[in-house]
Formats: sequence, structure tokens, C-alpha cells
Amino acid sequence: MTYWQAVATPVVITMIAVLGLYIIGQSGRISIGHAAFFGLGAYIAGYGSTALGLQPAVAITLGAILTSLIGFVVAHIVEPLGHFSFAIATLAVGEAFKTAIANVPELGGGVGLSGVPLVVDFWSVFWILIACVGIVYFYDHTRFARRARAVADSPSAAAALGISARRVHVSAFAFGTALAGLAGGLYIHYLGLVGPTELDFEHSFSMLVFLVLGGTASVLGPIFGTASLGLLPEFLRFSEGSRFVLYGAVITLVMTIRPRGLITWAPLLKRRPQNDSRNSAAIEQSRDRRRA
Amino acid sequence: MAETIQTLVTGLSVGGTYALVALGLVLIFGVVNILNIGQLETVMLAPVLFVLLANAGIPVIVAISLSILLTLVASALIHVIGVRPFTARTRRGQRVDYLAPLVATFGLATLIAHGMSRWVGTQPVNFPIETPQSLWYVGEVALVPMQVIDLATVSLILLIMVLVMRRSSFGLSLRVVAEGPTMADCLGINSERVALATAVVAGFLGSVAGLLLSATTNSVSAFMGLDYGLMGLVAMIVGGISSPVGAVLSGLLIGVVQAFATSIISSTLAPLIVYTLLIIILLIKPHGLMGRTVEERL
Repeated sequence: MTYWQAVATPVVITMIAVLGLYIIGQSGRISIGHAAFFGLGAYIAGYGSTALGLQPAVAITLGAILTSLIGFVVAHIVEPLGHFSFAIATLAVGEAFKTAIANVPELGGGVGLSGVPLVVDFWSVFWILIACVGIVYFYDHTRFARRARAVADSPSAAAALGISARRVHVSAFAFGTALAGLAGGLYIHYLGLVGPTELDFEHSFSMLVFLVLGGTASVLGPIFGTASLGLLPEFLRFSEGSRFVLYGAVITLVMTIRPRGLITWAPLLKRRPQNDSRNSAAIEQSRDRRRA
Repeated sequence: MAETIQTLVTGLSVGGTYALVALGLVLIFGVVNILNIGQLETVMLAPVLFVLLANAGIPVIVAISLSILLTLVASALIHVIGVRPFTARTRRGQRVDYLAPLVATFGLATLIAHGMSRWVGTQPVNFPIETPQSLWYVGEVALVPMQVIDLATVSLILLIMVLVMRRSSFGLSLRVVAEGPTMADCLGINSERVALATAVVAGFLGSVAGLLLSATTNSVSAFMGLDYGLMGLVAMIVGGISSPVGAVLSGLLIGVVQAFATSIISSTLAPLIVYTLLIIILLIKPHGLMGRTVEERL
């Protein structure tokens, strides 16, 4: 494996998780506990392929499904909160998961799981990313995603159209955490080990930064944001100890200049839905308003 | 009984510092409607600056006042760099997504924490002055002196804050701006200036909390801002995001629950108990302990 593949593989895995965060973000809520779901996926997949002796592919799939179920339950609990409270509540849930896992001896306690078979390399992760981008791109054109954007844009207008905000938030959260769990499962089969610190809120914050800095307008945002910021610390190696100082400065500067993120271009979302006359007018209107 | 009182005092003294941090965040949120993550770093800045100044041989009193003063300047800068660009856009009528200021101020927090770690190192260092260590006995109850000092300082500052909010013209204009910037404009209140002053007040609350925390735990670290600030954020949400009284009460509550969970169960499981309790509170009262039903204005 070349140096660049070794640097890029974790970044590509993170992209998959950030795509999940993008889906949650589309519904107007955001999670600062996304790394916790990433970690849960890693732990479930790692436990599956070591202690339970499952095939790695089966274990990773199981990790994604169970993580999504946990996400579904969590979303049900925190859904009534407003946006900031939702974000901080997911942060609290993530920290609770981290503490809980660190206290389970079967999962390695504070040290974490290790000895997981290394079956994932750069190219397998790369093709899975391409598949996920395809799925998210397709998802963006479904009627459900249009409803999610309507809820995000104006909850009261969406409610007036008969769209249940609760259903949208919970489903988007479950879908988003499934991608986080998938990414976690890939990560542990790439690195071979994972510890409770992987669930830390600082990682959740980084994922949020990747998404928002890249832009939430289309699927290109999370990909570009993760690629640029994920590799930025590598490019800043010349500055040694100050590289995270520069990293923070770049984030602040970009956000103040471009509050909607680097990529605000959403070329492929302009198509009007063909047979969705009930929602299309309102959504077109809301999109015009957002553009204005 | 004596032990229960000791645990309660421990909880209240830590909870008091969370309450100060949460109060600062709530005041800022009320005025600019932005969650200012950068402000959490004031909790780290004051003690770290104090360590640097005290190690340079500056007398303790001067070093403390100077470190607080410099932190106030820093919190004004955090406001000007991380928050003002967004409030300016909102005033020009642009719709600003709530995530952009959150991420921008988080970038500032990263910058400040890693910048200070270049000076004091990445490892925690001791608090540079001796704090009284021998326990104080009140009847059978043994009290840790620093915790009593914490409680006294926090109560004094909260009292001052009540007076400032109720009696001073700054408190009045702050409450007007929190009601709505348009109303403030009509009354001739410069809401930009009120927002800046609020950031400075929050910086003061954060720096006092940070100094008390690091003196009590005898540990100063460049990365303590987010760790303690996290509890401030949680206290803010549990209190009802825009309620100062709620923030103070839930800060104290978190401290007390944490102290009892640590003494009864274990210190490793204490955070789990705290977070579980918070989620239960939010399940029962989704708008927080003292929150209004309309939680966030757009």
C-alpha cells in the first residue's frame, strides 16, 4: 500500500460517514454524536467477526443494521427538541455510549477491541464509497428527500402540506446512522482495532465541520469537504505543531466568507418532480426562497 | 449524614462553575441567537494565561487580574471574528443557516486550544499557587477549603449578575435585544454593542469558572475548554436554551448528580448516569426545565 493510499483510506471511510450526516442534515436536524454511531458500528462489526466468528462482510452489514436501529430509537427520543437542543442532545447520547462501552469488559473496556481481521483495503473502500454516493444521489431525488428538504426549510409549511416532521427526522436519522455504522465497520476491518475514544464528541465535531464546510447543497459538499479538510492536516505537516492552529483558522475563515459552505452548486437537484403534484409547488417555492 | 453534606458541597461547587459557563452561553444565545462554541475556550484561557504569567514571576494578584483581563479581550475578539460576520449578514436580510456560526466558532475554539498548547504543552500542568489543603470542620462535616471558596465566589458572581440584569441599563438593553433586534433598533439601542458587551460578560463568567475549576482540581490543560464546556452546553439545553435561571439551576443539578454518582457508584460510570438523567429530563420536558414553548426563533 502506498503512502497516499494509507493516508486516503481513513478519509474515504470518513466520507461514507459524513454522507450519512448529510442525509440527517437534509432533514433540518444535525447530530454531534455521529462519531458515536460510527464507533458503535465498528464495535458491533468487530465483535461480530472476532467473538462471534462471523464473515467480515456479514459482520459489517450487521453493524450497519444494528447501528441504524439504535439510531432509530435515539431519534425517537430526541426528536421533539429544537435544532440546537437536538444537536446537543445527540452529543450527550454519544458521550453516554462512549462511557457505556468503556465500561464493558467484553468489548475491551477502556483499551478497546483488537485482533479484528484486516480485510479492507483502499480499493474496496473506494468502490463502496462510489456505491454510497450513487445511493445518496438517488435518494436526493426521491419524494422522501424532497419532503425532508421542505421540513428543513419551513417546518410549519411542511406541516401544512401534511408532512410529518417527526417521521422525516426519525427516518433520516436512521438512514444516516446506517451509513455511519457501515463506515465504522469498514474502519475496524481496515485498522484491526478500535477504542472508546473513537466515539468522542471531538470526532463528531470534525464530521460536522467536514459537512458544513463542504456545503449541504448537494452530495458534492460532504465529499469535497471531507476530502479537503481530511487531507489538510497532511498538507500542513510542514508547520509541525501549529498545523491544528492553521486548521482552525481555515475553518473559521471559510465559514465567515462562505456561510453556506464551499460548494453551493446543486446542479442535479433542479429537475422538477414528474408525478408529485401535491408537493412540487410548495417545494419549488421554498427552493426559490432559499436561493433568494 | 456528614458524608452526604460533603458530597453535596462537592457537587454544588463543581456545578456552580458549570452554571457560570452555561449562563454565559445562554446570555450570548439570547442576544445573537448563535451557539458560540469559541466562548467555551475562555474556561481554558484564564487559567492557562495565569500559569504563564505566574511562571514569569508576576505577583499572584496581578497575574490573576491580568489573566482575566486578557481573557475578556480574547472573548471580545472571538465575538468580532466568529459571530459578528453572521449577525451582520442577518441584519442585511440574508438568511444564515444555524450551522455556519456553530462551525466557525468551533474552528476558533480549535485554533485557540491548539495555539495555547504550543505555550503550555499538551500535558496538564499543576496550578501554580498553593491552595489551602487542610480540611475545615463544621461539626462533623469536613469541608475542602477550595470548594467553599468556589461556592462563595459563584454565589457572589450570581448575585452580581442578578443585580446587573435587573438594575443596570446594560441588563435592560440586553433583555430588549433578546426580545428582538427590531425592537432594540426602535428604542435606539445599539444591538451590536450590546452583543459585544454580552460576549465580554460571558468571557468573565467563563474565566472565573475556569480559574476556580483548575484551582480546585490543581490541574491546568490547554484542552480543558471543550471538556468542561461540554457540561456547560448540556446545562444550557437542560435549563431551556434561553433561560438564565434554568441554566444556573441545571448546572448545579448536573454537578450534584455527578458528585453523588461518583461517590455512590464509580467515577468511570458517573458521566453515563449524568447523561442518562439529562435525556430523561428532556423526554419529560422537551423544552428544558425553564424553557418557553417556542424555543428557537428563526
